[in-house]
Amino acid sequence: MAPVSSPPPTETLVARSREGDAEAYGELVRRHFRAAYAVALAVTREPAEAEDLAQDAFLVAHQRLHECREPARFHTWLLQIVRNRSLNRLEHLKIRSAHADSVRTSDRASGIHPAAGDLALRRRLLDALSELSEREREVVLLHDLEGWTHAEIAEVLDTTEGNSRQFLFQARRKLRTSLQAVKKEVTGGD
Amino acid sequence: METEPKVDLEALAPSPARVESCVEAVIARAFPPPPSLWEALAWAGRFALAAGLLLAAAAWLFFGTRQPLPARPPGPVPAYAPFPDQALLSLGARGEVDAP
Repeated sequence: MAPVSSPPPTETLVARSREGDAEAYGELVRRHFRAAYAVALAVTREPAEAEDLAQDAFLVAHQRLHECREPARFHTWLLQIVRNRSLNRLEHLKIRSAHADSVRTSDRASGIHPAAGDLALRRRLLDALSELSEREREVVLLHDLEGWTHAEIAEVLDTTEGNSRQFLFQARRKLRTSLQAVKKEVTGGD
Repeated sequence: METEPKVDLEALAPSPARVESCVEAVIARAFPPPPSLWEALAWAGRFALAAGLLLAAAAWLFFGTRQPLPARPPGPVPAYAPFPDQALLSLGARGEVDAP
């Protein structure tokens, strides 16, 4: 019976990527793309923008891979790049005062979920997410969407596990309230 | 603390196909393929053409913009050139050369 090969650890993939191994870097991107997307989405609240930012962050990370001092914690380093770039992008959008328009336009152009029902559900979720603080969005997306533990979230967001739990509790409560209010509006309320 | 039930946020996540397409896009931009032989030849041709144009422009600047020599006035060529003779006479008067 052939031995089951375990996936290579992150530090090995980082080392191979530094030597120009495209396949290794592809595996790193595959492994961390959704987390990068979640953080970008928490900041920008716009799926298409978040997707672009996640891709840009991976390109920047590749160019600066030699600066990653702890390859085993590649994800922490990467998500800092994602957050910084997302905040810069948000600032840029605010300056142009075109955020609302770009959200509507790119939402239609985005090919993430083409079905109309999915688009409506996604819009409701995005509206509900916008009621949260940025930190609450980051925690709820990383925990409930990506399945990260509070220890991992605390490390990435530079906070404590207790705070992470607190943010998650508040985020879930606000989301539920917001979504229930929308449901009542749709069904006529009771 | 964590007693609030989870809200399903999966509709916000990119689909696996979308993730794979993003991975390919990142790799294509991070690791561009080396140029093919034809592309290398095309670039060499472009450089040769640019160098030729530069050389032609430099040659035109050097040779093409020079003023032509003034044309000789019309009429017969004088049998002697007055000015040099006069100059020679003045030199001869000073005893520096023999008078013609």
